[in-house]
Amino acid sequence: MGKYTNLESNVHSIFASVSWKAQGVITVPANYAGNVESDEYIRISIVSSGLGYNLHSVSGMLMIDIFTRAGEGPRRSSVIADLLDSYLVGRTISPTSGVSVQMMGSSVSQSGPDKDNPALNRAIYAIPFNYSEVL
Amino acid sequence: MSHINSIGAGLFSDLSVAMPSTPPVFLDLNTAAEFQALFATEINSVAGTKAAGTFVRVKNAREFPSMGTPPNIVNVPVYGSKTSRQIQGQSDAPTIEITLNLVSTDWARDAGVLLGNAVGDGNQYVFRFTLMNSEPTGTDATKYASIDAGGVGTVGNSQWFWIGKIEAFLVNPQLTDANTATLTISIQSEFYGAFTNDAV
Repeated sequence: MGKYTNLESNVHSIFASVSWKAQGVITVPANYAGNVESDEYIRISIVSSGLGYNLHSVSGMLMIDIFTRAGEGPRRSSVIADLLDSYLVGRTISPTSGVSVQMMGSSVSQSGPDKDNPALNRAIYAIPFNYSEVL
Repeated sequence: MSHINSIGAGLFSDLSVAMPSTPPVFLDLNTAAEFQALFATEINSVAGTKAAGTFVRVKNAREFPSMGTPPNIVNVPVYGSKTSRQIQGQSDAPTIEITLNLVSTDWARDAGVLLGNAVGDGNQYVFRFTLMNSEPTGTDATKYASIDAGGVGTVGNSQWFWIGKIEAFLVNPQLTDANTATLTISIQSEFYGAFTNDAV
């Protein structure tokens, strides 16, 4: 597999884990067209926007939209962001020898009502990452 | 997990000082097993109780210097050759200066503060620098220990050891940033390593 498919598989493997599923936060990837019948979920987008350590590496930002019920304040978003921190911050995913995805420190910003569904509030959780392969 | 086999940042790299109840015979220390036995159980700098194999972590490091023996290449003229030759001369010992985000409680000269009282006490200690890209998965006093299962062996790790003294601790007050301190450690042996622990 190429680096982008590898990166996507490795990042999504975190949210496919039994441990994350047990947290009960509905998780969908970017470009998911299904109907999420919940007033609370997260959406994962991988933005590979930066240079890597070598030609087979890439850096970027993992952007996670946190949707919670509108009008109930930021607390639930913060709780979910803390939960994401416990799975992501400082973690290195290294499924095979020579390949790794290293997560750094995170940040969260509130962006107000979701434009597609004003009944939901959207917060954006962002965490930089470095994906690398040994040449 | 053996040595690190991927490219990455050493986010969880660690500097520790062995604080055994009875100092080891420093001249007898040569092998990985001998050094690693000194780093078996972590204790706190504040009110930690020394015992066989106990060590204290120097936490809140902000920047580490280069670790290892620096080169000292000497050019040797060779008559009749277009280029000189080179040999490795005896190197100057590197200066180990670590910049820390200052947490004063760890470095106080109060009774029972191990790191604070080790500064300038004239005693030799064994130091360990561990390069790690991932957080060890162990818990409590063995999480950063030089052991295979439950210690640094749970993740990729490379360890270097040396004998030296904690010579100085210089506080750098900052008005708009975190207060920092510069810890200076002298080197009174060779660098030993890279060694590793492997939980697999």
